[in-house]
Amino acid sequence: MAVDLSSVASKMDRLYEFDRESVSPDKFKKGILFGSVFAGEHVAATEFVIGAFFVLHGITASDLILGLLLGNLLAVLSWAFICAPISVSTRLTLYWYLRKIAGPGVTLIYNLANAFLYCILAGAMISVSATAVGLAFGMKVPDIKDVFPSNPLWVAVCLVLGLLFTLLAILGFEKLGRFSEVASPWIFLVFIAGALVSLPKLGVQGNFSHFWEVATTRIWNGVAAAGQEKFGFWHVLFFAWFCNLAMHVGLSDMAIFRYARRWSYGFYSAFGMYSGHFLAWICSGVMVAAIGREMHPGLMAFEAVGLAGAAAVMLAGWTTANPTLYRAGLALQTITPGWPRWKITLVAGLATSVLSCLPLFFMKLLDYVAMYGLVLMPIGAVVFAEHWIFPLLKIPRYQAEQKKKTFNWKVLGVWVLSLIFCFLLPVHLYFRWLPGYLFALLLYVLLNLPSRGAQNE
Amino acid sequence: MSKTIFKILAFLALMNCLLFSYLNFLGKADIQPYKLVFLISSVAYFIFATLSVSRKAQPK
Repeated sequence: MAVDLSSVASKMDRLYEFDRESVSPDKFKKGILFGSVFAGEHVAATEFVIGAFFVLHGITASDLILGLLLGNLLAVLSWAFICAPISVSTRLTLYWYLRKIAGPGVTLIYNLANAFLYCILAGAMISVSATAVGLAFGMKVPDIKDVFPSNPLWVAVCLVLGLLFTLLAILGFEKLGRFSEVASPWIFLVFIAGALVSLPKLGVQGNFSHFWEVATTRIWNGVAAAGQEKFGFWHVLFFAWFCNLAMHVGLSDMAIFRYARRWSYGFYSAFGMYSGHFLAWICSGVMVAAIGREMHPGLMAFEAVGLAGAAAVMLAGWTTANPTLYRAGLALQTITPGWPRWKITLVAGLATSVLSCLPLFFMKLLDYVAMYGLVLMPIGAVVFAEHWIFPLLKIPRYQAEQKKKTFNWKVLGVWVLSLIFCFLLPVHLYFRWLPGYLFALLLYVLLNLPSRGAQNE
Repeated sequence: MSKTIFKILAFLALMNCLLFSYLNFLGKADIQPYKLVFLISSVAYFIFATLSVSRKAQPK
């Protein structure tokens, strides 16, 4: 077993070989580039769904505005004070830093968990795109409470789109990466234009003097849709904060910030948060209110902006699903020795296409986003403790690397126990990650206290 | 130089989308013509923006 794991680990290392070395100073990037990366990444297909769900969950306008302002601020601060400082200090990706701390075995498990979660996320993106494509065939979108598909046309559209996206992911990731750079400003504009054009349908025309009155009575009026849980200020604040938990507190974005000149570049994440997770969410809320609160991203964009709107929903789904499929393929390649990239991307794409047929992930996107961050969060806590707290307490760092361990059982234990702790917490799903993070941090430090003062070998 | 021109044209196409949305909001542009203008401007944006980021093939 140990031999097999070593073999898998070495294959995994070869896959990530290209970013094994710390980033050298000549490769550091200008701050504004980080702003544009964040602005592009965080105006995606999910924004059409999340902003609309806030309306369906009966949030009031003031709770929404205040919750988003503060929640996004906390997210920006998490990037600036947690993720960016570790990134510029190590200049490594999370993959390589975690490997030093937890060993290749734990890193492999982390990769597989990430791949599985990526596939579900890409599936949700395909579902969002399907709502736009289905307009051409008069397709009925699944009901908000549906778990399984009830409509063969929905299944067919999801599968065809999934296969198409997979094919494009196989054919060329780099070219599509450039295309998404081109598409993202336009997609953001579709949000703004869609909301602007939807406002007259809600009774705001010509000037914004009635906007607040309409916003509080016809859009975010505090009345949840049938079967939807009522949300308030704290739900919005925590959702905006943990929406990218895996990236900031979970440290996935070390891959980006290792190119930053200074840790303060973390503040550039505000470009993504306040354009995508503030303005775009508000705009999609306006659009869903204008179509009678129906969860149908394709229809709401089509009604507002016409064919271009439907195209925007489809493109947003495609440009987001594509890199997600690529990353899932990269992560899965570790367990399929000898398989070429196209074959594993095909397998990931097929699995994703099947998952996209299940309305569950699309209609429960908010809960899924919460679960996604929650599952990966303890690893962020472990790395934070190892990087900042261990030197203060004189606990030796990087024991997996020093002792050439495949598994750092303490890391694995903290990961599993933190998830059990979060599962048992008697609070709403959205509020579980923060106590879970503190629990993971404390537990990992406590487990390592006995080795305090020991010299690194 | 030509890339700069394409960038400017792409930006103008985007601004045209926004301008007509605002005109519709003001009640000065009907919804169907607005949607057509938005579509045409969007296509123009993608053409110009793609040209502005495309690379010439490296001489062998």
